[in-house]
Amino acid sequence: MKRSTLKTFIDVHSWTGLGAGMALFVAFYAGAITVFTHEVGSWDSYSVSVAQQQDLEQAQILLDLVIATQPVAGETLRLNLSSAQHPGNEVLWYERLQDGSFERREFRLNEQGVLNTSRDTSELAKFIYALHYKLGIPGTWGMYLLGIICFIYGIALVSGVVIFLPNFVTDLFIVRPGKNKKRFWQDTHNIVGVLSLPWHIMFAWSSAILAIGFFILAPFQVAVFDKDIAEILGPQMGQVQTPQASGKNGPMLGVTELLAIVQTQTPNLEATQLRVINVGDTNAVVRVIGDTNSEHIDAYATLTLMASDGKIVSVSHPATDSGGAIFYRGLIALHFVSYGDYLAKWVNFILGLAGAFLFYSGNLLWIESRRKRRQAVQPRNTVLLARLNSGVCIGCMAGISAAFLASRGFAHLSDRAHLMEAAYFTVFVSAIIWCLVRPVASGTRDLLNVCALFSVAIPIFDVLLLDTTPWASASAGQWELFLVDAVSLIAAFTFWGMARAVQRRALYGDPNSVWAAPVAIS
Amino acid sequence: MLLRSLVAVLLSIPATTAIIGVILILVPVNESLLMSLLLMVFPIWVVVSSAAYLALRPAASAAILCTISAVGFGLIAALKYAGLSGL
Repeated sequence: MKRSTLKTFIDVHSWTGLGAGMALFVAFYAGAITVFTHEVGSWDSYSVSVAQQQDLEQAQILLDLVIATQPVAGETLRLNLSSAQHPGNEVLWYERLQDGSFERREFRLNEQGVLNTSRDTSELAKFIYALHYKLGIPGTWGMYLLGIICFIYGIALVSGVVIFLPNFVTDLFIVRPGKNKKRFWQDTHNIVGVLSLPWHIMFAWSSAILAIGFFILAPFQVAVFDKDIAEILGPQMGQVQTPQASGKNGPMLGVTELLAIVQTQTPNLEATQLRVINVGDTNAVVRVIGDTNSEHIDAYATLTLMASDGKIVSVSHPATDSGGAIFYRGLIALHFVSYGDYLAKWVNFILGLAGAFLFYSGNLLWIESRRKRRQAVQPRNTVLLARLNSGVCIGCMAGISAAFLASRGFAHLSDRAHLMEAAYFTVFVSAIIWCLVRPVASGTRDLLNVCALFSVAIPIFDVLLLDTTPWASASAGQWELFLVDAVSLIAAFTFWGMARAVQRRALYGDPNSVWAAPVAIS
Repeated sequence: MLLRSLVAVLLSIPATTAIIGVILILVPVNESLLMSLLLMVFPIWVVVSSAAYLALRPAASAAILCTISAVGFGLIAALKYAGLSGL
């Protein structure tokens, strides 16, 4: 490869990394936690969960009560069936308000069989999930921004491979710790990047499709297709044309009867949601979504039935899907880790954290590459990047730990979700400001100590504020509390160790570095 | 680098559309293959953008990408005019 080509791709890799790195760090760190979104949700909703798992009879009572007492005629209702992690049945309705926006309404059946219309305030898992694809930016702008960042991420992957290819054999499994920090960060960056490359390609690809798929397809609608692309692709993506509402009231089969009909079509289907469209109408339709428990990467199937007589309208099953649909669903299933069991989740969790490390270390590498080795005062741009890298990346981690604490600490307040979000953003913004005003080393060390403190407080809050302990809960078969608390303790210990390493480097490392203490750190 | 990147990112969009569009029209695709080809847009867009950096000057990469787009869209229009497109 020509020297000039290699230099061009090194520049491309540096600039794409700098442009996308911090946003991708937030996406990957929050995404790694989102792998365990159900577990985090169970941890968060511990105080509101019902003890006994509700059955289909109670699901029917709940649905009937919602239809009888709420103005849902002609609307769409989602009945989420109970599971081991979410023992209560739940009906969701997105009510259209006069200004055109939608308000989420939730209904549950309490232990006395009375309709509970209060909204579940445990929003932590949803918040971290949204943070992962919107970076905390309101509306859909954050998602579009991340879609564009995925494209930059794709170019960074290609340029990274091009740069690494000449030294692929000699450098692949080498990590050289020692005084040459640039060499160390480069080796770790290379080994993590190359070994997880297929996974990164999948993530860049699937994320772009999820975030800006519509915009990617738009030029084809204008220049290539005469027909509507949505009409051609819709059925393959599980979209079904449902009959128009007739405007006449009609009966609906019971939940048990509908699921029995579904079982005749797909015997092993474990239904998770029933979506009732055109509620109360003679043309009401029920979409049953469930796990087929098959060996497909995306094992979920969707059956659409007429609510009045159970006539099957359509079946979308992984065993009979077209090649294109399997391709699409496989890519999305890989993204959401909706395959495998806990082993797949743990592997993806570790890969997610490794991905976050990749972006963080890439920025460190850029800083180290531009270090002036013979002067104490370092260039402004490297100091600024070091400050921002610590503020944004470590601030995000501290903010997420703070969100866990706030969600548990304010569990008894109706405004819990807002307070939890406020805790995240307050810590995140404060962290960036702190890093901008403090010397790089002390700012970074302080933030890592804050991360450790917040993380170790999570199990302490659980022990103090819940009417059980993580170990008692685990011995009763509910592992979510134990899992979150154990991971928090490991994280706290790791953050503390990292803070000590930053401190050591500040005091005893090369004084001509952004990481050196200008005066000894107090 | 900024000009080079703008050329690579922006002009790779019509070039990618033209490349995939020609394949879609020339190859008799069923609906299943159609979706698979459309899913390939993202990796091809990334590869075309990255390849644009191989040209020595931004003007050269702009010329190559514009030529790919012009030839591709011309071919698409001609094939559609000839009634050879089923899309």
